[in-house]
Amino acid sequence: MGMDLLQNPFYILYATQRDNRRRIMALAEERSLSSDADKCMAAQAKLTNPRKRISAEVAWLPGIVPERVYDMLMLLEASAGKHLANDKPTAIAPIGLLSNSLSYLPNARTYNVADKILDLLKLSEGDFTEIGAFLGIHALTPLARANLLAARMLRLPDYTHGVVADWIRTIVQTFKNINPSEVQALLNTEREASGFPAIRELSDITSEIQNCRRYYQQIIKFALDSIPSTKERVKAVMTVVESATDSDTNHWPILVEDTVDVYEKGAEAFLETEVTNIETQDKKIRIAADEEVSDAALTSMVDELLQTVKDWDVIAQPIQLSMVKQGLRHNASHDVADRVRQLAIFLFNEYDKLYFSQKILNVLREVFTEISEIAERITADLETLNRIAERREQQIF
Amino acid sequence: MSNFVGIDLGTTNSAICSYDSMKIRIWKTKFEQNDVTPSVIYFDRRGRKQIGRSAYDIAPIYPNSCAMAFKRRMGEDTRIELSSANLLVTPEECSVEILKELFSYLPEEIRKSSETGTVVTVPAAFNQKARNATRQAAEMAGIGKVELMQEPVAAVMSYMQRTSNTDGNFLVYDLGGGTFDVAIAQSTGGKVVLLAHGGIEVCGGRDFDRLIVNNIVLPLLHEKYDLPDDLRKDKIFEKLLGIASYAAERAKIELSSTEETETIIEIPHRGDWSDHLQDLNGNEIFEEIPLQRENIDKLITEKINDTINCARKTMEECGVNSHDLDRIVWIGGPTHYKPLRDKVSSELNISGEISNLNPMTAVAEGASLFAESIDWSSDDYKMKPTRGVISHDELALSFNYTARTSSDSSKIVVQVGGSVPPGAEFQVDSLDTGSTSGRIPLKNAATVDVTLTKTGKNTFKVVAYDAVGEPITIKQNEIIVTKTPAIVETIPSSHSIALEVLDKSGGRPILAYLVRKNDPLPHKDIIALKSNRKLEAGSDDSIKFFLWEGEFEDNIRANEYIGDFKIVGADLDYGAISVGADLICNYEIKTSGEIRLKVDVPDIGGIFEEVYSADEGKSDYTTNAGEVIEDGIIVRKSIEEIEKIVNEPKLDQAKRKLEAANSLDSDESDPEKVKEAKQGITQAKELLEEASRKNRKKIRKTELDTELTFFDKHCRRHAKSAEENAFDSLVETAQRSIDNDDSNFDDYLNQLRARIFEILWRQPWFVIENFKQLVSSSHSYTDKSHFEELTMRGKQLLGSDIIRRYEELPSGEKYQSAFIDDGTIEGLRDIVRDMMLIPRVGGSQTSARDVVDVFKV
Repeated sequence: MGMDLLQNPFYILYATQRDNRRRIMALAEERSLSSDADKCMAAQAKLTNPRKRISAEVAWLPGIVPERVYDMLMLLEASAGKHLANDKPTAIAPIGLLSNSLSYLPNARTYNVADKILDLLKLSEGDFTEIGAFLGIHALTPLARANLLAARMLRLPDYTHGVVADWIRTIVQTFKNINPSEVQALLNTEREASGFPAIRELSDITSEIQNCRRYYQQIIKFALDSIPSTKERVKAVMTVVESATDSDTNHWPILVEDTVDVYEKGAEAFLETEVTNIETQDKKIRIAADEEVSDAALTSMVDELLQTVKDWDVIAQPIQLSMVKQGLRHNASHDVADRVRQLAIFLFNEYDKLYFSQKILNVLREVFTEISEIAERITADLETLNRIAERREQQIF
Repeated sequence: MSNFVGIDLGTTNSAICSYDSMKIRIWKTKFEQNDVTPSVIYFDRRGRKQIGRSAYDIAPIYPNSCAMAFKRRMGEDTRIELSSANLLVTPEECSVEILKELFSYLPEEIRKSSETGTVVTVPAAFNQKARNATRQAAEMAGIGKVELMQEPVAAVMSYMQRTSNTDGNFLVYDLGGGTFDVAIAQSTGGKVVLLAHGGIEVCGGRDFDRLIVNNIVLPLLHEKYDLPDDLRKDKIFEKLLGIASYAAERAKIELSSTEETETIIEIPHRGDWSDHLQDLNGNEIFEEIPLQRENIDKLITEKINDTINCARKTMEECGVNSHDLDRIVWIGGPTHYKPLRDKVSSELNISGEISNLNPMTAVAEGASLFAESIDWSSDDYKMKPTRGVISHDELALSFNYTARTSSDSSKIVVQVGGSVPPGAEFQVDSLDTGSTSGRIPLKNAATVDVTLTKTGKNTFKVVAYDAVGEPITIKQNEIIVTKTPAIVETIPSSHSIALEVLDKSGGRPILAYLVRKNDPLPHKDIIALKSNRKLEAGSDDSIKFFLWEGEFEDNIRANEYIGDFKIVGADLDYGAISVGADLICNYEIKTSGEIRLKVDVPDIGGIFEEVYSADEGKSDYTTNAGEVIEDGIIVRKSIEEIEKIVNEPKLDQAKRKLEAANSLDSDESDPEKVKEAKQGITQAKELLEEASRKNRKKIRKTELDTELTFFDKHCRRHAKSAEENAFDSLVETAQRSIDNDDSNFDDYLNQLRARIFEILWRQPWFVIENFKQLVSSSHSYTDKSHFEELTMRGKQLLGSDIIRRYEELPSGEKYQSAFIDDGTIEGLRDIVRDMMLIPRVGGSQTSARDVVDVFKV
């Protein structure tokens, strides 16, 4: 599993990738006398084991010179964090304006400055390269950047839907650019300096990158959960999803699918409750029809049901889009569509409520438009009903 | 605590040592004054016992009265039959006798002292059941405070204590009488980090003896004497077998301890046992069989190769290769044999070290050293802390120090939380030598290095002064630093241990690891789970947590089943645990590898804590040969499936590992033989898993292509456009899953298959073909009358005309069978669906273990 930069064994021991075994053990002994000894020993165990060490290396900042690594981490330490957001950065300052602030480094303890500098991480690739050079990080690799982005996302001063969507989009794009072979070469260069055996299998790197991916997924979940309202959360996810849909590729970037996955887990309880409501309202309508209530009363009940379906769909939409894109079946959508479709059929077959059936099916077609299998079936139903309606009209005239 | 005892409870020999913080002492056998005690017990008809050398010497002539090699059966649901003594004993009971015997060598003041703590070693390859059984035996033996430790850890401790040239990386090759252990260690300035360890449970000198007997001694005896084909099945010849084994072992030891290249296997062996040895015709068996080193070398090659492969695998697991290792440290009797050492050394390309280590007692010595590092006064026998602190509360001032170290000095670091008076100073004085650090300004992060002049306790006093030189009172100002011969800083887990859980509600079973192989121990953590089952207070039902040892993720049941942990309805005072309720699983894996599990259920405010039950998972290798053979057949089939796709040498190796299982008789009752076959199967599974993992992309790609080709050929033309799009998108998703090597591929593949089925299910020919196929397998249905009724209904529905016309179609045109009306096919679909639901003979047997009660959050 990936890890936060400030939990990384390198950070726990204040070690660098170029430290040899002896130095790591000395640092562990030293640090264990001033901080949590168990943590230090665990960090030592990980960093001195050539195999276990890979996870720490991949979750670290490969490619950044050791001095700059700790500058960046100091900024992270100093950044406001969600609970310290009493001095929120107003907007990302133009690069030029930051030059003075940067002179405070590495002693910068002003949250505002730290936040502003860290926010530069989400600049577009081109602008970021410029600021990377400015910060002395000439070769900020995609992996290092992704790890920094994840660390920053854990400490944002503000979690509005726009901000969260921006950070997610940046980490999504950055993750796409990670090249395992480049990471392997980079880590092996550092290993040569530190005297640790080279990593021979590329698969060791790819599996650790996948672990990082799972960690980023958790961070995305944290960021989404930190958005105060459900509506805003949906907006954030839809922004991410739409920007992925706009791209030319057949598939979304993997982290977008992961974003929807974690969103789905969070939305599960709401969706289940709404499905129960739909079931209850469906039953009520059937009973009402059996009891031959007035059309006015039926209208209000059907409208209420259709509104619930729409509300359900708003929340389910990112999930539906993701499933369709992957060719997967979203069973909950099929279940909901099927139940409400059956109601439409029931109302027509049993009580000849053509208008209500058409109304329900029209809403269903609109709601499930992105799921072709459902939309096609509903369209066929509607065509049948429309033909019947036309035939009836012809008979009248 | 002042007496630290180490016991190496071996398969063929055991040893006991003690350590008093200064020196180690080997406690010799009472009469022969040997360093080691043979792990053999002789029981006579009156229930009297002889243990050790005397039992070992008479075992060949009284094999039915002697228990030996019982360590190999620890943790099994089995008993050792001693027919001459009319006794059935468990391996644990036998171990108890050996432990008591060894303990009796200690002087009374150690034996009876409450200040004695004992470490009993177990092989790294031991599974949880064997480990638990060893603990149980130690408790039954009544030898006081006992903790277990893996043998390689003890071996490394022993090596570190004996050698001065310690820096570097080394491999410990420990080949004992019954088991093989390997460890990769890294030493820096007296501190050892154990990077990885592993082993083979059934591989040792005893197996070499069996090879010599089966391949050299018995063929010759069969040639010269009238003997039954299988001596093992005839009780009359048990003595002959016993004597042959004994003689072979003695000859092997002789060849190991001399430079000679040939010796003689004497049957009977240097004793007047001839009256006991006769063939079927009553002829006396008396032979001198030559045994050459080259013959032994050939015979044991495969076993040695197994140990070399195990060592390579262990090296790979911690990411080191031969160039990173400086030397091999030899432990265990069989490593006396020079050709073995040469072969291992040359194959691994690491030079062997001739150390002053006694290979027979090194593990017991190391265990006694390790015993010193345990805090025997703690509840759970935790390791002694390596860090200490003394503090001054008012000033929020503390002196943190290294309390245990193997180096010649220790650090004391000042931490200042509050405000220290300006100008304050401190000094550290040695109470042993009188030396002092001199006064040092008292400020945060001030550091003093103190010299440790002796092994054991070194005492220092810290004195602080204010600006005018007046002492600042620190209530507890004494610092004790223990210098030890060696400190193993990291003890890795020898196995991965996992809970079987569903990946989500209604999902697929996965392993949720509590600890991964070679993760440092002890390891404490929490896993958040949710209940997948409702449990009412007072009900007989339970929520079970299944524990597995191993890393077979695709086939969880291929792992070693450890046991289960249950929350039983009867344990609930009131209410119920509902589906989806949080189950917070707190666990700890001790340094010895043992597991502690506690489940917190916040919804009902209950905490459930108990040692899991391991009884269900125990095997009896005297009766389960059939099961082992079946298992072997399944693994062989899996290997053959993958062989169709990839050409991988590991698969050939895997097939060779199945040979023992292939040649097993289903009524085989020799537990060692069956266990060896079982071990071969496990090794084959590991090789199969490695081969599959290595070629996973290719295998998955072939599977995906197969589905795609089938879809193109048979389904695409029947698919609706939405279905076609969804199928193609899913193929791309599956392809990406292959590229990313993620775990969802099988789900995608199953969904592709489901989509294919869904499309085909609409086609009349597919329904008819399914019906025909089900009808043709009538023998496999349990409810025959229901089956017959459905068959008849189906045939009536189709009518003879339809069946005839359908059958007359060329096979390539059957899908065009449009002459069947929709109503008929709909009816037939219902019938086929019902037929599919009828239970079949040999269908999936649902056991309690098949239902997973918890899922991952």
